[in-house]
Amino acid sequence: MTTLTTPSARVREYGAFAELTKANARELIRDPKNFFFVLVFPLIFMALFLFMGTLNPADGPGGFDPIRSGIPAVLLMAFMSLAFFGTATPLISLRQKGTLRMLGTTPLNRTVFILAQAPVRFAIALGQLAALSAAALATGFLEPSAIGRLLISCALGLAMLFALGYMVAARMRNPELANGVLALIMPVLLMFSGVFLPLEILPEGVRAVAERLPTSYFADALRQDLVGVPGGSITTAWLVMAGVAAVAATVAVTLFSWTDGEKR
Amino acid sequence: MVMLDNGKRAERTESPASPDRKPAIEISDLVKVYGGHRAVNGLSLDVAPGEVFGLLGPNGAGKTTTVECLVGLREPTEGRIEVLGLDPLRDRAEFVRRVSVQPQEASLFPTLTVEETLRLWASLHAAPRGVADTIRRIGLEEQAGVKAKALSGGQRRRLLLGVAVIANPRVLVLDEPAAGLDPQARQRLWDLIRAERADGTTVVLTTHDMTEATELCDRVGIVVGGRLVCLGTPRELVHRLGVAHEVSFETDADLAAVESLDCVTAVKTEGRRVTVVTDDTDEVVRTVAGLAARHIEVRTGQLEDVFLRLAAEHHESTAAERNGASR
Repeated sequence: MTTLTTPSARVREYGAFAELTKANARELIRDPKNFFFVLVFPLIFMALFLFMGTLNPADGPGGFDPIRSGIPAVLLMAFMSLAFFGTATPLISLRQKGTLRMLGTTPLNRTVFILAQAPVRFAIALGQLAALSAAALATGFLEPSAIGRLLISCALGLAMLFALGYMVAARMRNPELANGVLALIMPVLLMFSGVFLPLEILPEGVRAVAERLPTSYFADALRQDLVGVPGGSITTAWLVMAGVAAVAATVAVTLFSWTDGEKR
Repeated sequence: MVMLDNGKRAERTESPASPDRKPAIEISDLVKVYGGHRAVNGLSLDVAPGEVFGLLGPNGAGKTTTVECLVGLREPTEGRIEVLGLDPLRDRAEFVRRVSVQPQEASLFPTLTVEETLRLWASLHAAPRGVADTIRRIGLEEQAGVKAKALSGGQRRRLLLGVAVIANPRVLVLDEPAAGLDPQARQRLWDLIRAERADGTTVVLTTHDMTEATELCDRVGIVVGGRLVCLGTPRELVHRLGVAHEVSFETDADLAAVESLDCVTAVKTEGRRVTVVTDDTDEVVRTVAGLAARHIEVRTGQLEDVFLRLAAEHHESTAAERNGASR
């Protein structure tokens, strides 16, 4: 789509961006399915880890600290839910229902449309990060000096997950299929990222693959920054996340289609 | 008006635009093939600026495909389309600023209210109509705060129409705008389309509703089997295709005076009731008035008769072709 450069076009695009941002916020908050997966689902898991913490405290037998493991696990899961079920699936659903097709017959620039999804989602992500960072600070896992690094890791990780979500949503038209695939992929990615189980228990070959998954780099960064668990190079993790985000975003913008079939 | 031979390549047809005014819409030799099926097969037509043009045809005739190609939602297999001098695909950015479409099927953001939806759509355009004015135009004043998912089917179609007209377009394309509307809502729709015409907007609509086409359209084109088989004003089509008018009455008098009229093609009697088939009802009425006729009724030919006749002819020719091919 042609980029508009005239002042009136720019003013209109700001207006469209503001209205779309509001519309996205309303859609996300008012839709019960989105609301559950984006806001309630991670809270249930946090409660589960807290409950496990009372059963097996850090100084108890087994050496496993459910709260220390749970904080990065819940944050990663919350971000994944936001990117996959809170962004990709609703977009695919809009395509299936013909709403994107309608938008494609207006002067709306697709980059503006995609960018307008971000503010409400970043606000929710920020809220989730604040809540879990508060928990990590309260338990003494998070050093105040690591907060800057944590913010960079989260910004890059979110950019990567959203870009992957947009990539999945660029062409698909069946939200049920997308939900099924994502519901299958998400636990696998979480499991292979080492936030639920230590990677050491995986067979050698599987472990080698798991360690190289982009989401595993994000999980590693979260474990280091949020709860002070030693890990790999943070610079490498940032580079991987930034690289994947750039590639996935490029693919998403290139492939993105308003319609569900024929190329316009 | 130009009649087109069914089954032949559609010839260039004239719109009522003055010679020095370029048509708002020009479609030349449009072909659209899906798989092996030619959904649109060499369709050509012009629509003048400010005209309300109706595209009629039975289900599967190619109306929606034509409209989707016209607004750039589908790419033609062959042929050329220009709207306000713009190609719907190549000149996309400029095209979408001037042309609005109400598709046959689409849903809007389900959790946004009518007012929120229209406010959003207004923000996408450079010089939109007011939200309150548009709500009034589409008759959803009482549903302004209702979410789209809670609207009835007819109300949802009106909201779809609202997002098309709020753009304040120069060309408005409506695919089956009256589908699912109750009589009151349909009347409002007609008023809205008339108001658009009064504002100088060019309107193209598809419809099955012959009353709607007769009431609203300056000209109609009937599409059958992917081809434009006739084109003209509703009155011209009825006249040109020789759709019969009938005058019926009761009389005991001799019918020789009626039977001798040149304009009479048939006289049927059933007891005292006489039905005269003619192409000039005025002359027949004048004549039967001298026969002490009672209970005179005049039935003029309708666009629906034209439509049914053309659809039946196409059905017969398709069946004949199929039989020929199978031998």
